[in-house]
Amino acid sequence: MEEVEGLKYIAAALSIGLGAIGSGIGEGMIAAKALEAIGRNPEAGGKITPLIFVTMAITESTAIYSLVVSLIILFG
Amino acid sequence: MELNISLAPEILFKIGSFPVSNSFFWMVVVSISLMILILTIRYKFKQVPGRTQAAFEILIEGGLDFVQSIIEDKDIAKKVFPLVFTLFLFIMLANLITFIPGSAVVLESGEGKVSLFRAVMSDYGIVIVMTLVAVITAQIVAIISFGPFGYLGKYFNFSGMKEFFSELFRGKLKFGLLAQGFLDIFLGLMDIVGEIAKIVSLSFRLFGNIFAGEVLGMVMLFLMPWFLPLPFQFLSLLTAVVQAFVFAVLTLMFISLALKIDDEDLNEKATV
Amino acid sequence: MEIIKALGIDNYWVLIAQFVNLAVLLFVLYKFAYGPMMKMLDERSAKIAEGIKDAEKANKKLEETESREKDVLNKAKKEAKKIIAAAEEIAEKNKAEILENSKMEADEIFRKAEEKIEEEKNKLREELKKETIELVMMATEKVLKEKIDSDKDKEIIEKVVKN
Repeated sequence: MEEVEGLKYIAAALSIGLGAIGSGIGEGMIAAKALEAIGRNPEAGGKITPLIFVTMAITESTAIYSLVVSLIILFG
Repeated sequence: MELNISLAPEILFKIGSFPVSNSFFWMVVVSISLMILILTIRYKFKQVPGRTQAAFEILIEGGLDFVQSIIEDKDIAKKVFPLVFTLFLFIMLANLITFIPGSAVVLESGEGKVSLFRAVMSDYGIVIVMTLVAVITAQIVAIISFGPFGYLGKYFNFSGMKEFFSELFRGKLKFGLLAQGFLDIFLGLMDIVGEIAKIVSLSFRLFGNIFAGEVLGMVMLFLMPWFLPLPFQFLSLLTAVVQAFVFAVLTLMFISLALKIDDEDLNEKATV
Repeated sequence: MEIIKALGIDNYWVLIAQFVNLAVLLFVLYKFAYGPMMKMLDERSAKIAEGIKDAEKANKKLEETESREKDVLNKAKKEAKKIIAAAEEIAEKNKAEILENSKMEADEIFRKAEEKIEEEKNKLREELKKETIELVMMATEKVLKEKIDSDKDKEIIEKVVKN
């Protein structure tokens, strides 16, 4: 049964590791575009800043799904 | 010291055969404190408001404006607003309570050590109940707005096939309409999958964020309790508010998508 | 399924209890916070709308009064202009009259002056005549070396001068 235990850990690690790639790239793009927009129009900074957090939270959700899967594998 | 992380909440005590877990206990505490707060503010209503009442009014008016900016119809906005605002307040309060120090209180129970504190939203049962409330409310709004047959027609979309058959009765065989019919049926079924995906995504987003924050905090405390947990705690603070807001706003979006768009409103919006 | 057990939602009574909690929370919040709060916000916005309407009415009245004021001012100005025009006319007429009068007076004075000059001329002539008569008398006296009767002289000389 130790192979199964080892495979569990490998599966959990792979799940979160691969899932975080897409989320990281996406959030970086969000931040870049947002900063570009603020640089082009500094007055809109007050409106854009809360939206940054909201969009980042939604983009992060796919990474969270893979995190939950890995937690379920580890602890469930 | 061993790490004691479990996905399911630990049980503190039992009332009869009903197991009260630690997160359930904190959920009741948070709800009761929120209700007491509201009642104290309500019984001190004045025409010209004092400070707490003014702050509360600003909150509610801001929330109402936000909801109205998305839904446009003032009556429906007023009916939707309580649910959305309550979800937001409840989730935010439940998340912020985890920052009160003292989370290492541990009780001895029959099955070993059980910690007294646990974030309310790290219990998937609570989260799934809230998600189901939100999504089922959206479905009910869709049924009210479209009518029961219109609502079913969204998912089992036979309008394309009906057109194909009506053209067939007139003697014309149009394959474009046949393809359109199949596409409509397929997309309707995909909408059902979309609804299920909404439930899963909404619940897992909140649950994952909060539970992962807890696990991270525990692991960091286990590794180096002095300064390492600090940045993660800040991130958890930000996450607490943002996740509450995102949950409430997504519920609002689902409900607003389920409302029927009248043609006159579309024309009005287009001309503006 | 195992995942339901792992997540801890296998006891459905707990789920129902959580749902009941949420429902109670919603109900209490709605009844005690949102209901009265939204009513008060509505009342306040109604009051504000009324206040704005009243302000608009007051503004309109102000505008009307101002325009009426302007009308009155305009009319007054026109009247004033008319009066001034009439006064100017009268002044013109008066000027003409006065000019004529003064011309006539000037003519009169001229005539009178001419008459006086004529009178003076006549008087001077008479005096000149008298002086000439006396001078001639003195001269003839000297020639005749005798003082003749002034009357007879006067007769003779008058006859001579008249011729």
